Amino acid sequence: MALEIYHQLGHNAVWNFDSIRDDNTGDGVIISPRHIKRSKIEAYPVNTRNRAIFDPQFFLPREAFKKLTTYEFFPANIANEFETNGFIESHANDCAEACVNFQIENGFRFITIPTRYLPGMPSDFSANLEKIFIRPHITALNSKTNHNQVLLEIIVNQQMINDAEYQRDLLNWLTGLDGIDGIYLILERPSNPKQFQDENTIYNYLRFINAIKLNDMFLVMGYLGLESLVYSIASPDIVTIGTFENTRVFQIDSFAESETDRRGPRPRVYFSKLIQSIDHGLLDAFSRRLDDYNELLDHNGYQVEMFQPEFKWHFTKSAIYKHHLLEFSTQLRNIAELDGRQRFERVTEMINIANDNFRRISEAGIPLDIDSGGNHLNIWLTAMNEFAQDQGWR
Amino acid sequence: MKDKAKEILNYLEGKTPIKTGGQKRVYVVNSKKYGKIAVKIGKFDSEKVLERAKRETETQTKIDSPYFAKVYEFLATDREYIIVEEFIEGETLTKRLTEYSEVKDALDLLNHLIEGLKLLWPRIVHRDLKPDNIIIKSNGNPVIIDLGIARLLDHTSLTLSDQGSGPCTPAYAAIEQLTNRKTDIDWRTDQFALGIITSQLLMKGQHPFDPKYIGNRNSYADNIMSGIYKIEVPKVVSELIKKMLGKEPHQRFRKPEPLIEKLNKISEVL
Repeated sequence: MALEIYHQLGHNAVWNFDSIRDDNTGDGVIISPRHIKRSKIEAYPVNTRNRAIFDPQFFLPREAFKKLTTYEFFPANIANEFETNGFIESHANDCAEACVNFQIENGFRFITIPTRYLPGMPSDFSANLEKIFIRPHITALNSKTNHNQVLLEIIVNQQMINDAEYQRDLLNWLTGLDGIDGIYLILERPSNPKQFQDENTIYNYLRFINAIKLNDMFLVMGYLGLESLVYSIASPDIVTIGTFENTRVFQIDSFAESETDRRGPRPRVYFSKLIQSIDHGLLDAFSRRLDDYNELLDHNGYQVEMFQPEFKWHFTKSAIYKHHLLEFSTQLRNIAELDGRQRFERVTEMINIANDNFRRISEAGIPLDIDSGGNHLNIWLTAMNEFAQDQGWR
Repeated sequence: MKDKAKEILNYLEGKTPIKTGGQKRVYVVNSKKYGKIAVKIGKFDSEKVLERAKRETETQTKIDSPYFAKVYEFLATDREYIIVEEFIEGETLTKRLTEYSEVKDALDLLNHLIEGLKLLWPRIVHRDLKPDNIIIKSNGNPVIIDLGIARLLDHTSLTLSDQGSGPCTPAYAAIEQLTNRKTDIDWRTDQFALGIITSQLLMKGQHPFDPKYIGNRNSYADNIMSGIYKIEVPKVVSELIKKMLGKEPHQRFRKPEPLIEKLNKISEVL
C-alpha cells in the first residue's frame, strides 16, 4: 500500500492547509487540540475532517494548557483536581465517552484512543494505560453501533525500545489488545541535535515498526522529522511532516508550559539534495564558494521568494516552511509507491548523493556544525543496512 | 450437595476407573437421567485445586457445542470434587496421529479445532491443548477435553507470578507459559500448541521440538524457549506452520480470522 503523508498540525495550521491545497504536500492532517480550539475544528470542511486524525493529546492529563481548555473531555477539565486513581474511579468512563463522541460526530478517519506520557520504563506501563484510557474508550466504542477504525496512541522512548525484554513485552501487549485496528505511534527522541543520531535506537525503532506491520495493524507515525525517510523502509502506513520543529520532534515540554516566551528558531532552509536544513546564515558562503551551488538548490516559487534581496529572514515567514513541506513531501512521494526493499535502495541512493554533496561543501572549506552538517546520514545508513540485512535485502 | 457427592462416591466404590492419573480418576457410568456419562473425581488439598476444577466446569457449562463435552453437574465433599459430564466415545488424537499426514486431512482437523476453540477465544484460553486432550469421535469429528487449566483472562490467576512456569504440558507450552509471563498468555498461546499438533499430524507424529529429531541435547522446553524446531512439511503449509510457531506471541497470527483465511486459501489450492 502506498505511503501516505499527513501534516502534524501545530502553530499556524493555515500554512499546512495552504501547502496541502496549493502544493499537494499531504493526504490529511493530524489535529492538535493544544493549538486549535474545538469550535475551529468543528468548522473545518467535512472532507478535511473525514481525512483527519484527531490526537486527543492527553499526554499530561493534570493540566489543560492553552486551547486544550476548550475540550470539556480533557482529563483536567472533566475532573476538577486530576488525580489518577480518582480519575479512573469517577471520570475515566465519562471522559472516554465524550472523547469518542467528539471523534465520531466530527467524522474523523479513525477514532484515536489517547495515551499519557510515561517517562523511563515503568513496570506498570500497559496496566496503567489500560485502566486510565484504553478500557474506558473500548467500552465506550463497544456501545456504538457503528464507528470508524480505532487507533491506539502510544509514546515509546529510547530506553523502552533499546531494552529487548521491554520491547518484546510492549509488542506482545500491543498486538494482543482486542478492539483496536492500528497504532498511532510517537517515537520519542532528543531534539538536540536536530537530526536523530543514534543508530541503535533507529535500528530498534525499525524493528518495532516492522513487527507491528507484520501483525497487519495500521500504523501512523506521528511527530516525525527527516528520519521518516528511514522509517519508511519498514512500511508504516502514514508518516507525518510538519512546519515548526515541535511538530517534527515530540517534546513533552511543549505540552507542559506556555510557549509564548520561547525564542523563535533561527530560520533554516531545507536542501533535499543534502537531506538537511541549513542555517540561512551559511547561504552566502555557499553561493560564493560552491561552483555547483545552483544545482544544490531546490528550485520552486518559495525558493525564489526567499532568495530575493529584500526577503527578511525570520521564523514567522511562511515561505521557509512551505518550501520544506514541498521539497520533503516530494521526496516521500517519490518512494511512496515502492515496497520496503525498493525504498531502502532509493533512500540509500539519496543518502549517498547527500554525502557526496556534503563532501564538496567540506572541500570548499565550509565547516558545518552538527545541526547543518551531514553526520546523521551515515548513522541512518548503518541502521538501515542492519535492518536490510535482517530482511534479506542485502 | 455433599450428600449427593457422597452417594456417588459410595456407588463408585469398588468399580474400576477407565483412567487414572495424579489425583484424578475417571469412571464411565450409565445414568438414567443423562445416559452414558463420565464421572471425573479429583482429590483436593487446597482451595486452589477446587477453584480450578470449578472453573473448568463453569467454562464448559457455558459452551453448548459438539466440540466440547457437556457438563451436567459439579459436586464436592471436603476432600474430593466430582464432575459429571457427557462421555465422549472415541480415541485420543495421540492414538491416531499418523492418520492425518495428507495436508488436506491435517488442515481439515485444524479447521475443526479452531472452529471449536473460537467459542472460547479471546476471553478464555485452553492452555493445555495436546493430542491427549483431543478425542476423535467415530464420525471423525474432534472433541476438545480437559479445560482444567483453561483461563478466563479477566479472572484472577491461580498461579503465583514468581513460579518458574505456569500450569501446562511443557512439550506443548508456548514460551509465555514456560516462563509464566501471565500477561502475555492469550489465544495465541493456544495457537502455538495447535502449531505443534499440526506439525505432528503432517510429520506422522514427529514432534517438531523433539531434541532427538533436531539433534541437540536440550529438553523440549529448552528448544521451545530458544525457538529451535525442525519441520519437514509440504511447502504449501510451511509458512502457516512457521507463523503459528512464532516464538513470541507477537510473531504469531494476531487474530483467529487471518489464520482461518490463510487456511482457506491453502485449502483452495490443494
